Amino acid sequence: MGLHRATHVSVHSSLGKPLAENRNAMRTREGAPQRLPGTLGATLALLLALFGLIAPYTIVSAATAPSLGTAQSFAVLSATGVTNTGPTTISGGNLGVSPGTAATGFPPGIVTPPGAIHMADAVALQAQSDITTAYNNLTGQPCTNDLTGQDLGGKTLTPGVYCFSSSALLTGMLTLDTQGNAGAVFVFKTGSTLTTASNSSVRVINGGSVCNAFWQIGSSATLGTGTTFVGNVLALASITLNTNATLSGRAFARGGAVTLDSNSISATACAMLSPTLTPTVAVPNATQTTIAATQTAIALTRTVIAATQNVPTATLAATPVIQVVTQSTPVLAPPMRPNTGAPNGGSGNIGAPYRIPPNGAPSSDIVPYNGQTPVAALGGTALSTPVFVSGSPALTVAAGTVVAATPSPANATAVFTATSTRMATATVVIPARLPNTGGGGMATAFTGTTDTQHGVNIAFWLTLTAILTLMGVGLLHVRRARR
Amino acid sequence: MHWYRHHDWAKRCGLRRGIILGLLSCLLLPLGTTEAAPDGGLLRDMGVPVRLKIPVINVDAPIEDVGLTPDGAMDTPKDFGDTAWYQLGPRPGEQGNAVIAGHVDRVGGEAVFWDLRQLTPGDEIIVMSENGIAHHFAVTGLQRYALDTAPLTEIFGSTDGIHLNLVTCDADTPFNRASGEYGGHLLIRADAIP
Repeated sequence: MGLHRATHVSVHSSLGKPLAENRNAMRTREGAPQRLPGTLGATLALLLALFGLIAPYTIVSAATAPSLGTAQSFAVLSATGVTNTGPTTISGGNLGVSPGTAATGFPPGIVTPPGAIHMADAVALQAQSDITTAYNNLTGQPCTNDLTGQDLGGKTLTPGVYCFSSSALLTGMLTLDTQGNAGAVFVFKTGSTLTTASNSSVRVINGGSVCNAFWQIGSSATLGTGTTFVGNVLALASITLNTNATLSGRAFARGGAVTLDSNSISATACAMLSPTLTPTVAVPNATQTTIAATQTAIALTRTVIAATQNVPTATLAATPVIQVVTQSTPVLAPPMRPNTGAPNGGSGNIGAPYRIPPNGAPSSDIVPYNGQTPVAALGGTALSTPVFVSGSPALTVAAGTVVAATPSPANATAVFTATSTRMATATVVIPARLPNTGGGGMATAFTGTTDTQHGVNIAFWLTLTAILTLMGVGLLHVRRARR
Repeated sequence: MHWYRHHDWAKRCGLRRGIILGLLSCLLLPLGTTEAAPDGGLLRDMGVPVRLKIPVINVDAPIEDVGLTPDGAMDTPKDFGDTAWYQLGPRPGEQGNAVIAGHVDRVGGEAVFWDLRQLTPGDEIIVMSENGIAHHFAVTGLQRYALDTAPLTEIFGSTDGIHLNLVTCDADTPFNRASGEYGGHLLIRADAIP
């Protein structure tokens, strides 16, 4: 709803807004009587409503994506040379060097077709020229936020131009929230270097291209070992990707070298859309349901809010068939947006079914489930085709279960019900002992005096009987004696 | 004994009682049988077993559903005339080892599985399920195990075939009054007859 419009409003953080104002805003939105007269009142109410909705975010004016020109077709471009070690894969674009003439380490590195290596040719030359233009464009964009001295790790940023007067550092995860705006752009400008710690990551959430991020680096960029990075890196000097770092985007070194080591650089990813997540919603873990081998069916109902949350797991005592039966009505929003980029075609907010990633898997694992036809469930009706997922005992329902689709509007809730139908190959619970089915021991002689199972003490009964008999006999004697 | 035959009121009462009971059972019986409808199943629903019949030893007994006792042993039927199906395993007629237990005796008399030891290979066992299906089994063997020596995985565990195992105590072993147990168990193994 108003979320993407918000990016055009040039106001600042509403974090400190008094609660009463927010509440007032909500009321107005819901159609309660407006106290302020005329257009001014309505405008104010709208602004306040926007405050209420986007309170956690800092609102900034939109950054713009510079044209990459012919460099668009390059995944890696260097001025002096590219040096590679290990099985690096460059996909979705060319590798170019200009004016330098060296590209070593290919193979073992590969540039996947149709991408090619352009060594000091006219194509690479033009690309370098276009990169200079793009770089200058970025340099000229006014900062909306100064992050000098701050670590990008742990931050969730909305579209804007973020500046560092000297170096920039990323330790941990940086989240870029497009707020549902597919055209959202993030610009980062550093006065000197960009360095990421080992295993750091950048992720884009809530739709939009995963590499609509532009990094204008004043000197050189170094992506630490195992870093998962996103965006177009335009460095004035050189770019180094340490072992196993991955880049969904492009690496352009205007004046220096590009050094690679067992990396994956994919410009293809730039065509893909990020999943829609609601990262701030805390969702309690689903309860684990154990399905007895004797049960024919079990209903698992779960509200899915974020792709990263745990989804319900059912420990099945039998080989299950999971059937996604219904989707609740109405579906207010999608748990996440299908990644409709490459395989399915189309754009944005459509209702292709998708897989929920296994528990704990990164959101990048959300992939469209191509085997299924798009569900007509956009409004929350039942899934057109039940989907079956079979597996061995202790199958996690979540992994690979196609739950539904549908994204409209963003950030709401989808509920699905999964029913498992038990198959006959049961993994049963083996008891520790056989049942004690000997009730009385009538078949054999007693081997003890106490039948603990039935609480009968044989000796006690024998004694009692003897005493009663003696008393009876005694009584008879007494009577006879009286007569 | 037949004094009431001379009284019309008594006769009428008896009749009326019969009619009322009949009507009541018509009303109540369906309640007991509408449990757990199959869910549109990919597989045939075998239904929960409700009655065990072993014609050669005149057993025709209700089947209770049991699980485990607190100490992990398979539970026993609550009634000495009933049998008990182990509900944490497959149902009779399903792939795997379905297990049904019964008491061998009770204080002062026999119980439902007293004559189980007389079964011989080929004898027929029938398990009726709640949805009216009769599952037929043929005895393949009789085994005796000393206390706590029975191969539990073999008796309860998964297997390719469709098997039924009947378990009771081995009344031909000494009864230990202190523990209330016989010295062993008796197992009848049976395979489904297609």
